[in-house]
Amino acid sequence: MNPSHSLELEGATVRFGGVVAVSNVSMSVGVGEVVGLIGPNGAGKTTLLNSISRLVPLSGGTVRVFGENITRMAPYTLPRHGVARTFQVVQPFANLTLRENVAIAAMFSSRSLPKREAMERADAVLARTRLTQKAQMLPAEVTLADRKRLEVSRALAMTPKLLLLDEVMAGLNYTEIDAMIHLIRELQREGTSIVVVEHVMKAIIAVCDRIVVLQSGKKIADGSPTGVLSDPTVVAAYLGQRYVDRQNAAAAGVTS
Amino acid sequence: MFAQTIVNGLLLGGVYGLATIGFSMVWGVMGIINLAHGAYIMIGAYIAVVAFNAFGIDPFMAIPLAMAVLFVIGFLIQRFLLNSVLKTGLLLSLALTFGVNLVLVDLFVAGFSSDLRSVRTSYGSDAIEIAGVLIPSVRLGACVLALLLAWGFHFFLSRSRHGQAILATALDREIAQTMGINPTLTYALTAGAGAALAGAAGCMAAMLFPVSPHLGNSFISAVFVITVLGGIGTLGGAIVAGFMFGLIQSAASAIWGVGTQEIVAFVFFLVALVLRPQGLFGRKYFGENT
Amino acid sequence: MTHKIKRYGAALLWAVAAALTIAACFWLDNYWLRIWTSVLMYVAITQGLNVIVGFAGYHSFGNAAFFGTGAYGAAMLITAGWPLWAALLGTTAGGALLALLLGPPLLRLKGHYFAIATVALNAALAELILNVGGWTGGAQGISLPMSDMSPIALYRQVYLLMFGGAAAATLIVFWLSRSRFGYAVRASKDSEDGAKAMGINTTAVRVAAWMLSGAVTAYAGGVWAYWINFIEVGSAFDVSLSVKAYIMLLMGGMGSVVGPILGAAFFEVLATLVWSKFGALHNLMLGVLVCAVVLFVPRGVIIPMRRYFARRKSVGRAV
Repeated sequence: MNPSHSLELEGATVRFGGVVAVSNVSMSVGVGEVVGLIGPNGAGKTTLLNSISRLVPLSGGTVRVFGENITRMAPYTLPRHGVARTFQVVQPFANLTLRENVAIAAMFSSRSLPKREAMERADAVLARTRLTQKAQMLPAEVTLADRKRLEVSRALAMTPKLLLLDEVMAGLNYTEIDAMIHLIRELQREGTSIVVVEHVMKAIIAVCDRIVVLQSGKKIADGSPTGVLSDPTVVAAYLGQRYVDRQNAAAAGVTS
Repeated sequence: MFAQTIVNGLLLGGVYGLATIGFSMVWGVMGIINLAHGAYIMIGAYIAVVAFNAFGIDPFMAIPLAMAVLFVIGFLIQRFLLNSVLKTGLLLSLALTFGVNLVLVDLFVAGFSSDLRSVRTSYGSDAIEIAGVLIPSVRLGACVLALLLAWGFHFFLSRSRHGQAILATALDREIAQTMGINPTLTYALTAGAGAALAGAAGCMAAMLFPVSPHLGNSFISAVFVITVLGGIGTLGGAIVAGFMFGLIQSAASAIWGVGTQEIVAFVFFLVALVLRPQGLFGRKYFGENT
Repeated sequence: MTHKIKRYGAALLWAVAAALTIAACFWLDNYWLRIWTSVLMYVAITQGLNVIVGFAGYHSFGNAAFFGTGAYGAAMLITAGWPLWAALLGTTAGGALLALLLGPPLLRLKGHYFAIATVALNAALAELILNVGGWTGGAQGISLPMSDMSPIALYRQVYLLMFGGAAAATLIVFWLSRSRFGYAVRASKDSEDGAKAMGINTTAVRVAAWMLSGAVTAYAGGVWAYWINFIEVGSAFDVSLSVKAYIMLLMGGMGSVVGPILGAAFFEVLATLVWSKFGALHNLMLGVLVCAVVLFVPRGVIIPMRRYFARRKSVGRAV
């Protein structure tokens, strides 16, 4: 099977009792594409990610990953389908070292490696995300930026074909954001499909091929970055007129 | 026969409910499972026993005394022992209260020996008869009083400042603090009130069961079950579930024999725990982790 | 190089300790033999608790349920004529089976609820056995057939059987501390969602952990039944068994391999001395002891010590 899409959502709906968190959202991510998912707080972005990664059940609709219907599958089967995710509120294994944290991801995902090989893979990934110096430390002993990089490292150790990033930039300073953008671009070059949930517009513009916008659980825009970011509905809902003016001024400044 | 079973169960259920309120509230407000709660009931029972056998005071009259004494005991134990384990793991409070329970029970074994005592009032065997159903006066009085006390506590919780503080803390401990509620005092008050109600239930129990230092231990499993069935931290839940428990025991006893009371209740409990862990009136929060 | 020396050194120490423990039964008198058998029994129970509480993070306050099941299982099988080794094997498997059956529904409960469910389970099993009567003995309990071995030989046999249980339990904990499965258990405890997102079937992992816990605890119960020769519901399903084991676990340190051993030894010897001194009021002293441990050393002694030494070592290396 040679699927054309890494992710296909059709009519996804998530209800918690009376609250509809995600309402009839359809979107797709091509193989090797990077799609941004933006929207105001409470729009349902994280819930959508949770339903894709199966931590939350879908009240309606289907999810397909590389052609396979995963709508009813248990969350721990996802790594076998090549899906890895990070968590918005970082959830490291608090009583294990960084190295062990990453090794676990290698041990139980699609590769199911024995302990020694998993540790070696962990070392390789930590070298890539530049955490080797801190490999023996506990998550509580490193900075927030490092913990974010740990999140990404754990996802990378699973050699994902589809990566779901949930606000990896939150809380990072400019240098750290640039480093993260650099990493995402590298992954894109390697052919990984990525869904990036973000509030940091700079990052979204830098890496995304396409942007999907959610508001109050519904999709209100889906298209190229320039198109979506100047869409009046999106501006009204999320970006604010000042942002658009600022962008226009910057563009005008460049050409003049 | 059927009606008699129901009446028996309901009457006893009222007392069970009263005995449970304190335990349930302490758990709901502080997250502490107080295994010494049974000892509070036991102490209340002994107060009634001593008051009656040594001073001729009617057990119903001994209730205010028992409540006062137990309030102090509960307050002090909370303030000086249990407050230290509030922020630590769950099982530490279980272990600590288990230790406290051991101490209290053994103190009474030392003081009163394990011999059974009882309270035999003059009206002890009186009963009203309605449509062929026997309603023992003592049980009726106890049940009515239990409901009155429960209602009184409910009134206190919903109307007084301290009561409101207790309810607020039960809902969300951290937010309550940011609103100026002093958790230490609130906790100690809750514990004291809970102990007082247990003491009252103990006085009633003295009229219904033989009293020994191990009385509490036989109550505690019932109290556990009723708490979870009714919803942790809910007063109404404790009362309703208390009635349910009384009915289940009574029915089991009538259908399968007295020996099956406990196990039927437990099986019921386990099933309820798996199917609806938040109990009758408890709240289920989405994404709640504890 | 020093790493290798450290590892083999540690293994050597363990081997020596094990050998000494085995040898001890040949020169201890009856009194101390009994005490150390008790210690070994608690080592097994506490390590079993360590698996489900320390590693999996599920506070099984009613783990005594497995002890009681193990005791009754062995007693009934032995009375039915099974040879000792088969009865113990059978009851150990019974413990694992109980965890396998009750794990999926009960391990879905979190925190408080699970703790209480296990207490209820313990009480329910006790009541069940009491009420079924017949070959469970009901309120009369079960009397095992008298052994024709001499007392000292019997005590030694029991001692060695308990040692086997304690050793197996400790080995299981050791294996958990460095195996893939152990990592899965610890990950599930630290972050349920994180573990699931990484491909770990957290429910299956937990049930497996409880099966291990149940098995060793049931084994301990089985040997105990053989040892004291007469069992009844009250002592077999006694909740204070769970509490004592929990205190020992607390003192020794959850998740550590050697901690439960030290905790069990210290506490049981102390409890015995207290009992001999205070006799009648020993429950009271036990209660005070329990309170003292919870209030003053809730994090145990082993883990803080180890962290302290590790920190000193790493500081040294940086310099």
